[in-house]
Amino acid sequence: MSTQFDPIQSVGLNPGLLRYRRPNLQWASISTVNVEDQIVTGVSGDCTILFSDGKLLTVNSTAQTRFDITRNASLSGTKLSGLRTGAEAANTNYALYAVRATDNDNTWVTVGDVVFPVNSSITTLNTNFGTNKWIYIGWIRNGNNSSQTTDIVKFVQTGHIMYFYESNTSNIGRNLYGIKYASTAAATQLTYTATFGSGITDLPPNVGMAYWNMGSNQTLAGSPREFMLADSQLNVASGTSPQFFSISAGNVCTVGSLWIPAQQGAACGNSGGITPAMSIYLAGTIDNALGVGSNPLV
Amino acid sequence: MVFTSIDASLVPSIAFLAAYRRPTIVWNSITSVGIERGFSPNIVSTTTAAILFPDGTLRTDSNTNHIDFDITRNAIFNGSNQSGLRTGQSESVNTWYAMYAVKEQNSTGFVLVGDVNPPSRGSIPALNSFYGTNGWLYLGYIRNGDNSGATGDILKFVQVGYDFLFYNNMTDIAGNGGLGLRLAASAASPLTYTFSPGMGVGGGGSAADIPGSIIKYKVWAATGNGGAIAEWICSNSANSSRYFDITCGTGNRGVQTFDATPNNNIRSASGSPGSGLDINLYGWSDHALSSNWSAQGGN
Repeated sequence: MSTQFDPIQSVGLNPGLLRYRRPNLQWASISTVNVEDQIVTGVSGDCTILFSDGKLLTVNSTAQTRFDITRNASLSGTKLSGLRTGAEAANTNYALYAVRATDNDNTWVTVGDVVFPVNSSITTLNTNFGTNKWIYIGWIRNGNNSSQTTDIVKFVQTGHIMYFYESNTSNIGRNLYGIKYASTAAATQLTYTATFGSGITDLPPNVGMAYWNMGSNQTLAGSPREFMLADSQLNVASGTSPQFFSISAGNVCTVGSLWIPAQQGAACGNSGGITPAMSIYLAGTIDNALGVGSNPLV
Repeated sequence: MVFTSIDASLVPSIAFLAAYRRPTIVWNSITSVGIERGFSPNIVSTTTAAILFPDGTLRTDSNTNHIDFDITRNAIFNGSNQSGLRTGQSESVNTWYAMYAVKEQNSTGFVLVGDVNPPSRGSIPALNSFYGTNGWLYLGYIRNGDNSGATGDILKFVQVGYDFLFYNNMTDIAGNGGLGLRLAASAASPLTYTFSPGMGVGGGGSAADIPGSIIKYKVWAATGNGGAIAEWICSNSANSSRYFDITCGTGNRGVQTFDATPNNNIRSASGSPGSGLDINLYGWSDHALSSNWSAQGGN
């Protein structure tokens, strides 16, 4: 006789858990970000979060779930999404969290913070929001450090991967995607050495891989040269450093993109000692805090 | 409907499940690989790693002799426990090793074990035999050897979720710096890499094997500084679909990256290959690790 174990009836498992995945963030405007809805209930506007005490909570209120960077969050009374503390800052990375209300344990709001979800911050996050009262749901960037400095940069999040799709002016005579992290008016090589935090050219510390969009204006070159993309190990003079990308660039702008481990930074350079303008833009990330889940065997 | 009885002690709490994700593996040195520690809110410790095994039991361990894998020795998980290669295996050049968390059979912790047996469906009976049913959990692949100048070193890598990237510095056929491991190289054009599923030399295969559970991999290809303006192409092996097609100037080298799948053997061709052509692997996505859950952090 075959037997079956029904976890829903036997241990009271909430069937919503079987439909749950962490929701993606969705760019809504230069000042607001939505949390993906309908994942568990199928109802428009229903945003569901599984908290780390096992509570699966659904909220249908844009005031609470749609993050608004222009105000502070309110976790009690009239509940509102917003920054945990302080005012919107230019060219700043923010982590977004679903945070339980303090006067109603069965609802939550979306909160932005410059404290990121890494091991060393868990104690701080527990202090700020309460143990098991917060879940990280992704990060956003306010300001592209070039054409605008206080607008949330357009992005798409899919699971642990995020791409910026905002076209941004650069100093090479072409637009690049994303956020300016380094530029030079004239050099043989441009290197971005990774730093982590919320600042202008920091990467969020929970980011493990970065997608870089890099370009060069070789209109000064006169003859074809190699344009190289690499991590911060690049040394255009020696040629012995790793290169991800190298093409023959003539009297034109040259642009390429590649994924690099975040800790490795990024660099680009030119052969032949020429010194064109160059820029390095962050065009996407893979987030370690949103990564691998449960335990399939294969 | 008939229900079987269950042992409540084996059922993980919903609170734990809500906070768990599988830890990543971390490059330590050319002979050692660690495991991510302390990201779970239930285990707020920078020295403790946790594994949820397939029977629902949670095991934690903070002993570095257990949770820092050492490729130069054999694992013990029913005695004076330590990490290492599964008994009967020794470090081999240009070899992939699957990393497993394996339950200690005489205690409540776990050890990291490297094995040339991959976590494919056909290997599950063997893995159950080696480690016990529900006694093991796959964590990811590491690569020992770049098939160039460092054939016996664990290559530097970063894992984020199911994605891996190498960041070592190897030497390509032209003597330039490169990343990852060499799949093919030739002084002449064209150069073809035919996807070869396997675990490499130590698994009875070739140095240019790629584990079969890798279904998307990242390649970089290079051509040397040719003596003339020449077209450079990377394509499928039939040259019917191209990843890129550019013209290199006189004396200029080309390097390009692209994603490929096991269904697309790769061909690189240059009208002026100069010091040679390379096809190399620098990253991959592992479908055995793809899924999602609600952890609270991760460095």
